[in-house]
Amino acid sequence: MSVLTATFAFLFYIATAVLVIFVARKVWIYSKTPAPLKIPTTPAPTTRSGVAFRMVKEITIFESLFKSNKWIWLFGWLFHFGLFLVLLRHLRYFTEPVWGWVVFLQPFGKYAAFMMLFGLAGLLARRIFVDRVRYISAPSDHLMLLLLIAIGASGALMTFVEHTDIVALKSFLLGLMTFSWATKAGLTAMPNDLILIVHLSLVILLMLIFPFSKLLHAPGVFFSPTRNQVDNPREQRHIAEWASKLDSKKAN
Amino acid sequence: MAVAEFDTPELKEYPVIPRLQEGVMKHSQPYTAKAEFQEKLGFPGELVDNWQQVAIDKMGELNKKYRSLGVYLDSCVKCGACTDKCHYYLGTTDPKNMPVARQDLFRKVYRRYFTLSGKLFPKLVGAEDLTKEVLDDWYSYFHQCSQCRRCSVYCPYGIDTAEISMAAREVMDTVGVGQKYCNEIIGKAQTIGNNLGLPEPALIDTLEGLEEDVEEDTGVKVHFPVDEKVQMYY
Ligand code: HEM
Ligand code: HEM
Ligand code: SF4
Ligand code: SF4
Repeated sequence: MSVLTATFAFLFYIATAVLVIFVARKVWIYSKTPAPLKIPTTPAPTTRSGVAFRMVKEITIFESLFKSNKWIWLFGWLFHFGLFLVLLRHLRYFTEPVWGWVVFLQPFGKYAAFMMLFGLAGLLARRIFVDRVRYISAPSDHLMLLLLIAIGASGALMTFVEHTDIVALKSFLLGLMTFSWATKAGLTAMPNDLILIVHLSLVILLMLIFPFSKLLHAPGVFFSPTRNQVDNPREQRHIAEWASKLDSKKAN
Repeated sequence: MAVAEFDTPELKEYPVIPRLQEGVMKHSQPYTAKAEFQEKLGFPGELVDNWQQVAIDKMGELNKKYRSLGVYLDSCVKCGACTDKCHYYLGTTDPKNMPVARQDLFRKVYRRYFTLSGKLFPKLVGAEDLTKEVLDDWYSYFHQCSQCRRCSVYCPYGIDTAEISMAAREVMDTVGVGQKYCNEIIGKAQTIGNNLGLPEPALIDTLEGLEEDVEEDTGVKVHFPVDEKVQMYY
């Protein structure tokens, strides 16, 4: 096994473990922490299914953001929807045989890269030129956008300019997933291709920082009490365990 | 009498978002609650010596009691959608009155003491130690939030600045810098029985006078009960 292949194999395992374990840990903490106050923002749904519908709108069309600022919405939505399509398209590296609908996405799905990059560029421009957004930005906020732009640009370079050996790459990735290095067949070598190395190194970096950065907004949105609560405080008493203890102390 | 000078913005068809003027509202702090009232509520009368540690412990405790706090402190992406949604920002142009910047006063301390990225790379992620200057900013700007929750309507994750300013106020109470118009009033309601601190005989006398006035004006005889068991209709 070449040094390159071994290094990336190792890094992919580490990055995957960090991503899964630490995001799961956060989700666990969020779900175990009580939400003692009933605070859904109006107009709030009064049923569980209403809440589900509200949540679906928030994560698919960014409804609140649309009400709030059309420019951020436009750039942000283009970026996220582009990212979503790109990631769906990437499924072909990890599945064998490739699912029919993923195959179907391939020919036009690749232009999602431009959608994503355009959105990211717009968001970065706002961060630099709008004084209010500049004021609230830390270096990490700029760097996060630059990181995603670099991942997207290196990916698009491979798609549109300088192809890499996809067959070998896929074989390498499937080998990682099936732990083929432990078998007689061994692990296929990762293509020694500069753009691919850059792309994958940055992706690994993204996976490593995901659980420790603002990217936690992705799991976080599902736990936001102002968005995921049913507006029924009169029909149903809402009280956290620690708060009900205060209640009974008073009664005694 | 000297008239204060106001810089009243002109009303246009579309609202114009004012440009930032840093620090213009930094001086604006409410009076602190007197030791006597603080102590009655179980808070220290003045800033305790090890206030940093007490404050950080309290932040950790609140973070375990309120899910909103952890989720909101972690999730903000600094998209800027809320920046022009607070009336205190629109009216004062002080950037720390933008909801996200107000949260950041708390968030930067949370990051420094409770997150890996803030412990390792404070400059990179905008994390800061809890210093006296930061506490001063907290006292100014967490009391310039009316906790109206308008910003939470517009945030893509519903981040509610009121949850964070409530937590910050609780931390400040715990280290001994309570605010007069909250804590003295609560204290009076608890010890004297009403928020204004009117002694009982004075209150009864006032209400009897009111009963007479109402009857004189409307011909209806009403009774304003004090410390009596009555049926309440809301
Ligand atoms: C449940 C899934 C997700 C939802 C609902 C969601 C939603 C949002 C929303 C509404 C914004 C604010 C608007 C904007 O600035 O674009 C945002 C920002 C952002 N999202 Fe996501 N997101 C999700 C997943 C992700 C993932 C997986 C990534 C990681 C690559 C990501 C990266 C970002 C970044 C970097 C920003 C900040 C953009 C800026 O700096 O202005 N998001 N997200
Ligand atoms: C293990 C993870 C990943 C692998 C192995 C990988 C590999 C690749 C390869 C080989 C290409 C070239 C495709 C072609 O020539 O047709 C590509 C393209 C691309 N990648 Fe990745 N990538 C990964 C993760 C990501 C992530 C997380 C992002 C986004 C944040 C991303 C964004 C892109 C984009 C925008 C393109 C160009 C458009 C496209 O072909 O869909 N990649 N990637
Ligand atoms: S809750 Fe506070 S920060 Fe948010 S809009 Fe109201 S006053 Fe402003
Ligand atoms: S709208 Fe929400 S996510 Fe965006 S900057 Fe404001 S608080 Fe942060």
